[in-house]
Parts: sequence; C-alpha cells; structure tokens
Amino acid sequence: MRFWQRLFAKRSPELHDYNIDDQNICTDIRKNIKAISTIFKNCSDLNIREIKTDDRGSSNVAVISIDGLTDKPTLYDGVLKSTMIETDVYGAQLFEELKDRILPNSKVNELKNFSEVLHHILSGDAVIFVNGINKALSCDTKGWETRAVEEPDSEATVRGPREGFIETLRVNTSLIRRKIKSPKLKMESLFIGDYSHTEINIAYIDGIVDPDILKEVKSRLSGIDTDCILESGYIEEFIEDAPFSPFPTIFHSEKPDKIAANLLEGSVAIITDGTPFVLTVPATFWNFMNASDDYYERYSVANIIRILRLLGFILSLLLPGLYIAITTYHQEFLPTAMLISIAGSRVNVPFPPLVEALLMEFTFEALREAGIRLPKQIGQAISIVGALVLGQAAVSASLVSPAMVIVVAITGISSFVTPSYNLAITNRILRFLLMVLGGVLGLLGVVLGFLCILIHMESLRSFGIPYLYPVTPLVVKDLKDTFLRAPWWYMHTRPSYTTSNKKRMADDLKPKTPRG
Amino acid sequence: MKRLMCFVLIFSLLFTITGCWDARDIEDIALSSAMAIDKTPDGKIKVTLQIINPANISPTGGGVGGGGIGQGSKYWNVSGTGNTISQAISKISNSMPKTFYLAQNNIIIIGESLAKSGFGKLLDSTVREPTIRLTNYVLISKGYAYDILAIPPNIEEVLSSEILESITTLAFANTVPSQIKDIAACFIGPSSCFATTKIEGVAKSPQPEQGNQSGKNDPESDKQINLQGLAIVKKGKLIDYLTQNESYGYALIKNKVPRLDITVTYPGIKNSQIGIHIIRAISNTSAEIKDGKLIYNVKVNAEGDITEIACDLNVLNPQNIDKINKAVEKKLSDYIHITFNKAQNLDADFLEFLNIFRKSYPKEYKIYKNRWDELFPTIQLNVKVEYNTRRHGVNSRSIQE
Repeated sequence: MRFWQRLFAKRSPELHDYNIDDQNICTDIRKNIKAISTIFKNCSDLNIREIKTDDRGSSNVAVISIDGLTDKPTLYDGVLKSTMIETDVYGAQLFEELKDRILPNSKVNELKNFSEVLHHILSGDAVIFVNGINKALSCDTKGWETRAVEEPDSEATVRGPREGFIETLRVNTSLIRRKIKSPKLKMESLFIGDYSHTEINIAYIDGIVDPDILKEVKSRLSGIDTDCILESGYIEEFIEDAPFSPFPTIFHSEKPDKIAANLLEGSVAIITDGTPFVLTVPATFWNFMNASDDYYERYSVANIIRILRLLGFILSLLLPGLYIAITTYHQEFLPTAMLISIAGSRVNVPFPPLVEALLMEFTFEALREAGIRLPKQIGQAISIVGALVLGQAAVSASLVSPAMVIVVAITGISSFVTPSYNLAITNRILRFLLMVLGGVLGLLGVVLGFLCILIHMESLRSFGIPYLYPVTPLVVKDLKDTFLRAPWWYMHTRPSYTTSNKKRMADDLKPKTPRG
Repeated sequence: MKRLMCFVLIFSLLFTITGCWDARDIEDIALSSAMAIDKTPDGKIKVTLQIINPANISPTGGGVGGGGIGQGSKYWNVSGTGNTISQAISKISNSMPKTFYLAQNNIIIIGESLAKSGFGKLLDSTVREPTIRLTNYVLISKGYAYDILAIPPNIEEVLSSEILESITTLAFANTVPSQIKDIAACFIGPSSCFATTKIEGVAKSPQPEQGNQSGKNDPESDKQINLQGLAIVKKGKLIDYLTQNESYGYALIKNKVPRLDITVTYPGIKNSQIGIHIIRAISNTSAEIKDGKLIYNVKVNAEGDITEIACDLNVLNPQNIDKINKAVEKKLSDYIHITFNKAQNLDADFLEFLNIFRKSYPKEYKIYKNRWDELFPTIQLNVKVEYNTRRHGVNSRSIQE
C-alpha cells in the first residue's frame, strides 16, 4: 500500500510556478497582460484582444479567451462589440459601467486574483481587464462542439424516453432539471483534479435524501486528491465501499429518467463533467437488475420480464458449472435418453468437459469483446463468422460436443438479459469460478461457490445500505419493488432506508371500475 | 493483505483436495440399461447386462463425427457368472473397456429357474449398492432372462427402452409391475409376498418381407416381448402365475387400474356383447373384525364408456344403461373374487391384506402377524362395486340395425 501512496504523491501546479510575485490583479493593464501571456506561454489557443476606448495612447481594455472553448457569436456580439465603445470614463468607472450596464450577459462575475482568472479563462469564459483597476470581469461565453443528445447505445429501451446524457455537465444537469422541476433539486458543485479541474455536481432532492448519506458522499468526494478525473469511473473507484469485490456497489446510468427516478427514491447523484455516465449512491443489487422499461410497461408485463431476467441471471451464472459437474460426476441426474445423447455426442471429443467449457467460454467472451472493439460493420460479420462457422467447425472436428455449444449459447444469451453491463461482467467472472469449482469438486463445488457468492453479497454495503436490501435484511414493506414490481398505484412509499419524506402518493389511486 | 493471502491459499487448496468422489467422463461409462439374472445349471448366478453404445444411437455421434465406429450395434449384451451378483458383474468387467454404470439401469429381469429356487437373498445387493436405483422394475421372465434380452427391439432402438416404455405406458390393467422399493418393503413385512409382471418372448406376427434380412436363423429374432399376467412370489420363491382375469382383480384391489377394457353380456339378450372401456376405477380396501371374524371390504368406484354394442339395444333408454351398469358391477366384482380365491388357495398374501390390517388394528396386528398364514385362508371378503356409464358414443343404436 505504501508503494502506491508514494507513487501518487501529491502534485499540484501552483501559480508560483510562473514567477508571478503577486497573485492579485494589478491596476496596470500592461502588467496583467504580461502575466497572462507568461502563464499561457506556448499556448497557441489563447486569444488576447486589446481594445482602445478612446483615441489616446495605448489600449485600456483587454478581452482574454481561449479559442475553441468559447462560443464565437456570444464572444463577438456579447463581449467584444459592447466593449468597443467610445467613452470618456476610465478605470473604476469604466469597470462599473461595463459590469452594470453594458455587458449583455447573464453571468458576469468580478474577479479579484489570478487563480480565479485562470479558472474562468480555462472553463471557457471571457475575462475582461480594465486599465486602472485591480479587478477583472468574467462573462459566460462557454460554448464548444458537443455531441447531440441521443439514445445511449448501452441502455436501449423499448418504452421510455430515448434521450441520454452527453459529455457536457450543464447539458446533463439540465436534462435532470427538466424531469424534476423543483427548487428542492439541489446541485452542489465542486472541482476535483489538480490538472483537470473537473467539475462535479452532487445532485439530490432536499427533504427526500438522507442527510447522513449526503454527508458521507461529500466527505468521500472531498477526500479525493488526484491530478485528473477523466470519467466517473475514477470517482467510482475512489469512493466505493468494497474495492475488491467483483460486485459493483455504485450504480451508473446514461439515462436522465433513471437518474431522476433514483433521486426521487432518495439517492445522491454524482454528475461528472466530460462523461455521460452519472453515478448514484446508494445502490442495491436490485438497482442493477431492473431496467427502466419495468416501470413504464404495465406492471403485469413488467413482472414477467423481471422473473425472466432473474432466471437468466441465475442461469448464466450456474449453467456451465452445473453442466460440467453433472456430466463429470453425477450422470445419474440425467434422464437416460439425455445421457445417451450427451454421451454419444462426446464420443470423439478429446477434452474433459471442464477444458471443453473453458475453451468455448473463452472463445465466446473473446468474440464478444472483439464485437465491441471492432468497427460496427465488421463487428457484425465477426459475430456471424464466430458463432456459426466456428461453432459448426468445432463440432464437426469433434473438438467440442454439440451439447456444450448449446450450453454456451444459452449462457451467452441469458447473460445479455441483465440490464446493467457492469453486473453482467461480474456474472461472467463468477461463472468461470463456478465452472472450475464444478470441474474440480462437482456439485459440491458449485453449491459451495454459490453459497460463497451469496455470503459475500450479504456482507456488502453501499453507503451503509446492505447490498441485498430489502430481501436481507427482510423489510416486507420495501419488497414491492424487487423480484416483482407492485402496480404504481400501490407503491405508496419510497424505500424506507434513505428517505425522510416517505409518503409518495395518495392512498386510493387504484382505478375503480365505473358502474353503470 | 493477510485476508487476501488466506483466500489465495484456500483457493489453491481446491485443486489439491478431492470433492465429489470419482470423476468419470460421460463418454467413458458403460451405460447399463437392463440387467438379467439367471441361474446356471451348476447353481451359479449368471448376470447379463445390456450395455448401450451411445455413439451409435445419437445422431451426431454416429453421423458427423463418428466415422469409423458408426457401423456397430446399438447395444451389447454381456454376461458373467459368479456366486453373487457383484462377483458376476466384476467378471463382466474383464471384457469391458469402460466403467460400469448402473445408475441408469431401469429393468431387472429374473429368470424363471432362479425365481423358482428363490432369489430373495440376491435382491440384497440391489438395495445395498448405492448406484442402483430403487425405482428399477423387477420383472420375472418365463424361461431364461438373458433370452429375453436377446430379443431384437422392434420400435425403440434398444430393447430395454422398449420394455421400459411398454411398462410406463401400460394403458390397460393387464399387469402391474413392481419396483425394487415395493419388493423390499414386502420382504421387510411378515407376509413377504408380492406380485410382479411376467415378461416373455412371444412369436411375432407375420412381418412384411424385407429382402436381404431373411437369412437370419436366430430363433430370438422372430420374437417380441410381451408383458402380461403376474408372477406370484412368496418368501422369495416364485410359486405361481396369475392369468389375465386374475390380474384384473389384482389391479382393482390394489387401486392400480389405469384403464380396463371388458366385455359384458346384456341380460335378456342372448350372445349380446357390449364392450365397456373403464376409464377410472378407484378402490378402497378396509379390514374389520366382526364377531371374531376378519372381514375385508373392497369398495370400487368405477366410471366408463360404452365402446361397442353388438346387439339391438337403445342406449338412450336409462333403464338399459342401468342394466348394463349392473352387469359391469357384477363382472368387476367377479374379477376381484377370482383373484382373492386364488390368493387364499395359494395361501400367499400378495394383495398385502396384512398391511391393511396393521393400519386398522395395530394392537391386534402384533398378535396375528405370526399366525397370518393360518388366518389368511379364513378371511371373508365383501366386495361392493359401483359403476356408472359416462358416455355411450355418438350413435344411440347399434349400426347393425
């Protein structure tokens, strides 16, 4: 552990690296401009526009911005045009005039020192220096190329909103704000990363969130001291409860409606600038097992799909392990006809079932990974070649028995049923463990391994909430949204573990059959 | 760190210790599907196993990857002799390239000569050996059991599955097979009598000529299996067989009638034949001590359809139906009486009446159980059959008119 700490010892780029004697802004604009150009030496994307407001001597106003981070029309029409005025006021007076009257911008800030100036310049604002005053102005001119709001590939739904988060924080918060139009939805901002200065927003609904959980989230986030946050995955690893567990204890999603739903159940969302993936805590196992369609489809349909999904999860976890254990140790479990056909299909296969299964599962996982990495057009071709040709060839070359191909195929299909990708990965890792256990210890091993997984899940906590809540510890009232989902008009309360404001809806919302 | 090390150590132990005992690859086991036990003339036990060859049954094994071995037979009968069953089986393994696997064995056939000289002791190994299922059907063959296994299958691929299928799909109450667990229970009880299905090879009906296959001169290849009637075993020895009608009575008393087809005569019309298909017969037997006499009451509730009317009779008339019902009740009651009389004559309580007695009179049972052989022939039987016709078919009168 020491080694890692030393490796990531604290490094922060301070202003004194740049030989600036005074962090404060000077009254002399020439000095300020020089300081800025020293700090941004060799930064070709910095624009300094000096402006004269009279026909005397040198320029007395300078507008500084970074090319590419600013929206050009806003910068030209909103800042440059309005500072290019002819006036006979100077210094503090001009400064006040600009700030209070002239600049057509909704977000004008007064800046007192260079670290604020740097921060605003680097986040895409235009900073205005005026000669004769030791202050600067910043105008919001942020604007850069962004991806359009589109349907996320990783979380496709049949019914429900199609929009997904993008890489820009403000757009993402606006997507959430559009779902929850209440001043109770709070978004606290903080910056993490010495170099990246990544903006993080902690979103929660005041009055619903549990203050203790919120406090814990803030304290864990403020503990992060690193140089850069490029994705919310960094944050997830820094603040999760069980860093060595294969199970994810922090939920993430690309869909605003999912995040809004979690906020309304008392979760805290962590929105990171630069990534469409928003984290929510606390997360239970059921968060990962439920898709948003479940809440939008009618509950009877949704429940059947939920059962199917849970079955698929268990099947993809256990099926290869069980197949290996039964064909190697417990042939008496099989009906005679099935035993004959499995034995017949394995006659010329040179490997024991364990090796055969590992071989096939490895191939399958490799195909899947290749399918993700390859360009989309080739990806399809690869999966068809892989699945059909390779499987068929392996069977006819007697390297693999047809029964094993079926087992691997069923496992593969049911592993895609899990809506959350990170839980599906967990499932895959554990499946290999159970396969080895099944091959070495038989059914005893599979049962042992399954029990170990269950015990491990029992021991997990996510921000103080047991991972399998409300099944263990059993809270009957909260079971309404786990294995099955109660109809909407019956889900009167929020989950009792996080919320202080528990009541969710009126009591008698069940539609009544009209008489007559 | 310490915990991680512990985990790694324990995990690595998995590969050195054994879990479920004795791994065997599914393709390396000799799958026995039927076992025949006989007595050789010199008093030894001869065990014949029917070993399935999966490669030649499974379509993929023989077709795609099979190549060279696709031509062999689908199963293989191997025999060995010894003083005990296990010794005989171990002899077989001398000529067997695979490990024996008895857990999928479903049928045990016992040869007539062995059955007559007593086979109770031999059954011990079938109960003791953990891999043999207690749901194995025990059949008794007329003649040698290994001759039965030599009969070629007609519809199924393997003879044993043909036997098993005919047992499990037994549509009519011709016979009632017993499993090892039933028989073991009988042996434990004081009466130690049971009945089980008789199997024999009978001549095949004439078959369509099939060119080049006519050259066979193996007598067994002209036969087919036949499960009919029951073999009565008392104290481990085969004592007699039951005829077809007696088997009906047995099935009725034991409440094991899946279906039953009988023919009755309509009272009043000479040579009239009415076919009745009994679809349900629920029986209930109870014991009763009355005036120092042991009386058994058998109550049967039956329902059935009329399948055939070979006389002039209008079934739309309820009185006619009543008369038919009465005739059927009489017939069923006759079957029960025939079987019971046979049991009394043999003094073999294969109907398990003692068991019923024990349930009704647990105290008296302790006194009577040792004298059951004397008591059994003195039992009185009351039979009460209630039969109702449910359907008479689509035409009300016979088509002859």
